[in-house]
Amino acid sequence: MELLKKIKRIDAPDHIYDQIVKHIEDRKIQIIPMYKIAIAVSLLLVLIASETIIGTKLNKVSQSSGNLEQLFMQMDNNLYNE
Amino acid sequence: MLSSYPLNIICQLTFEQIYHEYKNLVYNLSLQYTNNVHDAEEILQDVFLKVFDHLGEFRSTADMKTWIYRIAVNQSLDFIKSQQRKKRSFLNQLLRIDPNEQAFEISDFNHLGIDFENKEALELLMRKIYKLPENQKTVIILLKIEDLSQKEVADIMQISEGAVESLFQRAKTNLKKVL
Repeated sequence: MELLKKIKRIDAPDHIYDQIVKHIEDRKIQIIPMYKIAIAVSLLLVLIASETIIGTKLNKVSQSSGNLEQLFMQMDNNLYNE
Repeated sequence: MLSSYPLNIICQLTFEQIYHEYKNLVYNLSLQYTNNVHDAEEILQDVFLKVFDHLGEFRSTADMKTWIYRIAVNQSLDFIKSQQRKKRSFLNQLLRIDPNEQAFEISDFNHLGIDFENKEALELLMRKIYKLPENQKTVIILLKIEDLSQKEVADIMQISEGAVESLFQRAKTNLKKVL
């Protein structure tokens, strides 16, 4: 076990710090696009949902107007038969 | 030494200062675990990336040296485990190479802290230490190579001093069996 004391301490290579800093910088660059993608996807979902809701309401209104038009167009002589 | 500074001064210290203070500690510790300079460099990077990520969580009451030692020990053990998983590959099993035996061998021994004079004996000893269970390996490395006290080792491993002594005795017994 005393043999282990003969192991020498050596200095860490100089270039490692630069590699660490580069790694940190690269991680920052990767994070930004993901954030933007998340915002874009959220906006898209909101737009699709809005369009679906608005589209549904417009369909209901046009159906109602259609019914009124049909009522006027109907040839009904009941009134005259009274 | 950074480890004895109060919190307000620690906050002012830059990551770069912390790196330069502890880089050799981490590098040499990683080398004792892996016995390979390239693996030690990789662990050195991983340790300081973790230090960078968690520096804000570092508690003022904790000793920075102990904290960095703990990260380095865990990263070194994780690195060894991932290397062993790669060795226990399907191909090795297909070729009927004993995956457990091969996984516990150092494939590329390249330890710059071992000089030519003691190379043979030390390489044999380090290869045997490499095969020890994680806790026993850590105790031997911290007590006998890093030359820390039992209290320091207990703080790093978050166990009692009695447990450190017990692990050390078991490690010695296991090493005597194989040497």
